[in-house]
Amino acid sequence: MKQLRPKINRRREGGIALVTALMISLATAMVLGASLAVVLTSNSLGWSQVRSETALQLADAGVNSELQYLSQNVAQVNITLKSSQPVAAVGVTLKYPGENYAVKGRQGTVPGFDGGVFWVYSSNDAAGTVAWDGVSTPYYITSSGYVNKTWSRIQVTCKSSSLFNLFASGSQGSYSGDTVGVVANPGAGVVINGPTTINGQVTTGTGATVTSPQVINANTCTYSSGQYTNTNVASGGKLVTKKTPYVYPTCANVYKQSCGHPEEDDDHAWARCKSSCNNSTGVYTYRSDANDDTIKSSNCQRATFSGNTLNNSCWNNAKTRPGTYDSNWWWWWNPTVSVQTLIFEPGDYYFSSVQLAYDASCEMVVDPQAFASGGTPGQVRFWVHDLAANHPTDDSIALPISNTCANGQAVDPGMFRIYCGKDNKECRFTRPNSCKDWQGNTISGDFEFKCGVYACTKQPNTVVNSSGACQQQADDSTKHGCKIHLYGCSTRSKGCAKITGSCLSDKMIFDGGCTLNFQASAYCDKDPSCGAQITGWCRK
Amino acid sequence: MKTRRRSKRGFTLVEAIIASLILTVAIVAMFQSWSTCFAQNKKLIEFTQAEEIDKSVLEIAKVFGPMNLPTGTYSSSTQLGTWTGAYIPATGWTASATAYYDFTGTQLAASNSTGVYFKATVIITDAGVQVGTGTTYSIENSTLRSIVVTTSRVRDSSVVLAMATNIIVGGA
Repeated sequence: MKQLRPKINRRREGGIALVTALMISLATAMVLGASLAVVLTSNSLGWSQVRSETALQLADAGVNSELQYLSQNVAQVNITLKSSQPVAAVGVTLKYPGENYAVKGRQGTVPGFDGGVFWVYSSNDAAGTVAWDGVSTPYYITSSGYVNKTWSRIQVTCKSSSLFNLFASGSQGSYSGDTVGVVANPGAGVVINGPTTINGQVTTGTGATVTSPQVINANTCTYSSGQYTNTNVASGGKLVTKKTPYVYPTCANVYKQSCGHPEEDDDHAWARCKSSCNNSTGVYTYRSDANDDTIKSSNCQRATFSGNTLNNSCWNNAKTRPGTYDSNWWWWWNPTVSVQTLIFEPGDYYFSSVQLAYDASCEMVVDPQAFASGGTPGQVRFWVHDLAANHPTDDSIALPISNTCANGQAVDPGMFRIYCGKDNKECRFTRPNSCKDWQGNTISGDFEFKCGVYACTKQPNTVVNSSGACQQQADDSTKHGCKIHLYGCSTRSKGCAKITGSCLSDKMIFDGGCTLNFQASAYCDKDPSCGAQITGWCRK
Repeated sequence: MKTRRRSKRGFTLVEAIIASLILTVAIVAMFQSWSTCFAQNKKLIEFTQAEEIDKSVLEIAKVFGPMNLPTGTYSSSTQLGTWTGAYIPATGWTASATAYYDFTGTQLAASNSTGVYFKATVIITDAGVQVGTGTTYSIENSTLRSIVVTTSRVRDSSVVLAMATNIIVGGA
């Protein structure tokens, strides 16, 4: 029987294996290709992520580099030299992803690392369109790290940190013809409780001692001897050297920065300071009908105060502090005096002369808490300068100053600053050898001034150039610098002239028993800046 | 008709051979790609582990803070202080030391420990320091401390990844 076979169209079978093989190949290729693409993409992302992390660390390095740049240029009044500018450097063409302009800022890298670079700048605004003006707070540091075509960018928010918060004592004077930065006169016993720096040399009289737990002889580029020695180091302390000098801004430049006019010359700045000060509006006294001696607005009123001289006569019109004069006593039995009080509210005060002799009837209160006026707490700043040529007088404070403080807190010396801007003159803080209080009792112990004192009118004229050599700096003016003079009793046990806070000056002079107690402060908005404190961070 | 049928079958054999060749070429190409891919992947894993090591050392340095990191030797010619060593949990920042890790990034005790794969060293370069006696120095507020961490393969000492940053106390 003939088996019937299905009729097959062989023409249609032609190439079916090839087509099938091609289709299988294609399908396999597609599957494998897709997998490969996924793996390659994943790989690429992995590499990119690693590079991105390296770039992020570099961006972080850039921020720290800028912090150092800021701290090294604290004395600059020219804002373009104070921080890195938000402009692209010449020749830079690289663009940050999503931006159509060359990356902005100062270029740098980490020493010993050649795997990438960063660009960093400081600006008033987060967008980086306005360069930091040296005053605005907060401000922003933006840093872009770049590693092998991969970018990372971070931005930190900053506020200035205070120059007063660095050292108990800093004397920056080191001038041609006047190399001495610290003078300890014979018999002085000086104790500095905090870091002490000096650019110049030390002159110590017979029997004088100056000790500090941390002594920094700076400007060793200029001086290989004549600075502090190990005899000046308190037990357990250390002495170190620094080749470059410390350079602080002058008082005039500090004022220009704080009032927002860094472009002014010194004379205009001081004239502005004089005309815009709070002398006639910020001084208070007790009311005649005050219930008690608590400093509060219901007990206090604005004092009759005008002019720019601060001396004991200013107390003539001040009212009596309640409870300080007891008329029931026979005057020859227990002669008390009425204490007249002047209270200085937050603000700026300009004095062409400060002459405050000790007088039990004069009480001076610095009131940063604004208790007397009921106003807003803030820093009290004294600017001591004379627009007259050559500043005729030195300035002297031999009157105790008391400070108000927030309830339950200790006095913050950061809330009271004295800026002495008279070149070739001194600002003296004296603890008289013998004095009596308003009740006729002999005062024992120290006269403690809780504040920061700043007396810089000339910068050291030595710097170290990039190759490490000493060279003369721009301030070769005929100025002489300004001095802070602490004048205590003949022995420490009788009472010291004591400053709690810090002293930064061109020259320090010590007589008798003196003490400097370093105390940093959280408040520093109007202080000369020494760099930045980071208050915020974000990745951009 | 016979001839025609035979030629049709022969053509099918040729087709099969060509198809096999195409498949073979495709599969070989794919496997080569995969091989490259696996090699890249292994390199990436190695790179990623090195990154973890570098990053962790940098983060540890940041946690210690600029004042607590070790200081090394001051050179008056460069005006820089330099410290070289490694971070080893048992001994902390250890001068002239090298830290060893396995492939997963777990720190090992010594260079001959089982599974050792990476080694890491740290170089800290300090600019703007206070100089003490001899070659000693100390850190101040404006000292810029630059830290470079380099992770290498133990077997051939080739560098896998270096990572670097700066830290500073702040202020002058």
